[in-house]
Amino acid sequence: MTNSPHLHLLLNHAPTVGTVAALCLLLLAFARRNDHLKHAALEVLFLVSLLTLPVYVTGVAAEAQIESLPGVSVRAAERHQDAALVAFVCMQVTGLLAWIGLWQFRRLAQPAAGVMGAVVLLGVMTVALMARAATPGGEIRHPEIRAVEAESVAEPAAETRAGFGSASVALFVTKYAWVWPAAETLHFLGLCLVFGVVLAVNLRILGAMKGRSRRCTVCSHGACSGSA
Amino acid sequence: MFEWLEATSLSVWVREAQTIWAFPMILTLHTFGLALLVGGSVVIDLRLLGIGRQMPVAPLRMLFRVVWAGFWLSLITGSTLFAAYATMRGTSPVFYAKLLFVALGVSTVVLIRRAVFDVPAEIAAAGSVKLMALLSLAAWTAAITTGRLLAYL
Repeated sequence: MTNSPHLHLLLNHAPTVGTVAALCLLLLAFARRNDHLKHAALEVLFLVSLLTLPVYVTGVAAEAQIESLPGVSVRAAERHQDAALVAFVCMQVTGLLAWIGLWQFRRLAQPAAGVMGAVVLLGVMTVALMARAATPGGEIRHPEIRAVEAESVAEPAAETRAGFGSASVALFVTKYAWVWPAAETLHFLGLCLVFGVVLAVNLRILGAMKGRSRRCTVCSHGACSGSA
Repeated sequence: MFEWLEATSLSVWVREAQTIWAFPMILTLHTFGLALLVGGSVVIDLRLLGIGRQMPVAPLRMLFRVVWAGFWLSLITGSTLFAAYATMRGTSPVFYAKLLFVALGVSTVVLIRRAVFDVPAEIAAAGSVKLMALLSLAAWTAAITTGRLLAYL
């Protein structure tokens, strides 16, 4: 039976290894001036960013399940979670830029140089942040690679850790009464937007929105022929 | 009256039955209805505001069927959810604000259909249609916001 820790163990190397592989592919594409390779590298980066979502979610669930087990370093788990959150955000931004690059490939035949440069820069940053997250991740169940325990004992508790950590994000959401309802409302609005657009596209593909061609009723210019 | 409504067997079942087919399923169907109603309306509104100009307006008429299906699904499931907590919802000003915004949103759907899809092209006025589309977007955004706030206020 697969559970969250098992799934996390199965998936957790994918973001680091995948990003390194995609970056190597991208550098090879630049060296050979090969657009097909560039396209493939962007696709790999985008897929890795999607794969990072279940890695992060299963990691959060796994922490709750293993923190009471003997031999588990709770401090290392907290450090791992904080570092993983920063790496996760950087990975998603990289994935978004890779997606924009792929869109530009399709619409403009060539992605903008700025986008490709940003993808490389953020990709390198992601690899560094993933490595930073992986180190305490390994220390959670491996005392032989753990730093001196006394150092970690001196660390502040999760609730008081400063900066952009998972604890500070959780504290922000639970401390202010308006954050959760506001985020949920925006989530619903986003859901409706996605649902409506996908619905329109799917209905069109299914032939339900063919309609007859008629003059546009919204704008007045004659060349519109049915579109405003 | 709210107390009587809340004491009916259907309300008690929705509120207290330990099964996903009661409150959780009705709430899920309510969300589906909301997505159909608001999603379809928003696509029409955005198109009338000039987004996606390469797509003709006329075929969007089909979306009104989806919007109305979403409206009835939301109305039926929403009434059931209201009945389960009638005394709490019936005395909440936020609930009545939500109903007001839903009524405004539905009114704009009807007006847009009449102004854009049910009249000859020569009669439709672009300015007022865009204003209605903006009003519709604002009404649905406010309806969703008040709907979510109901759970917290």
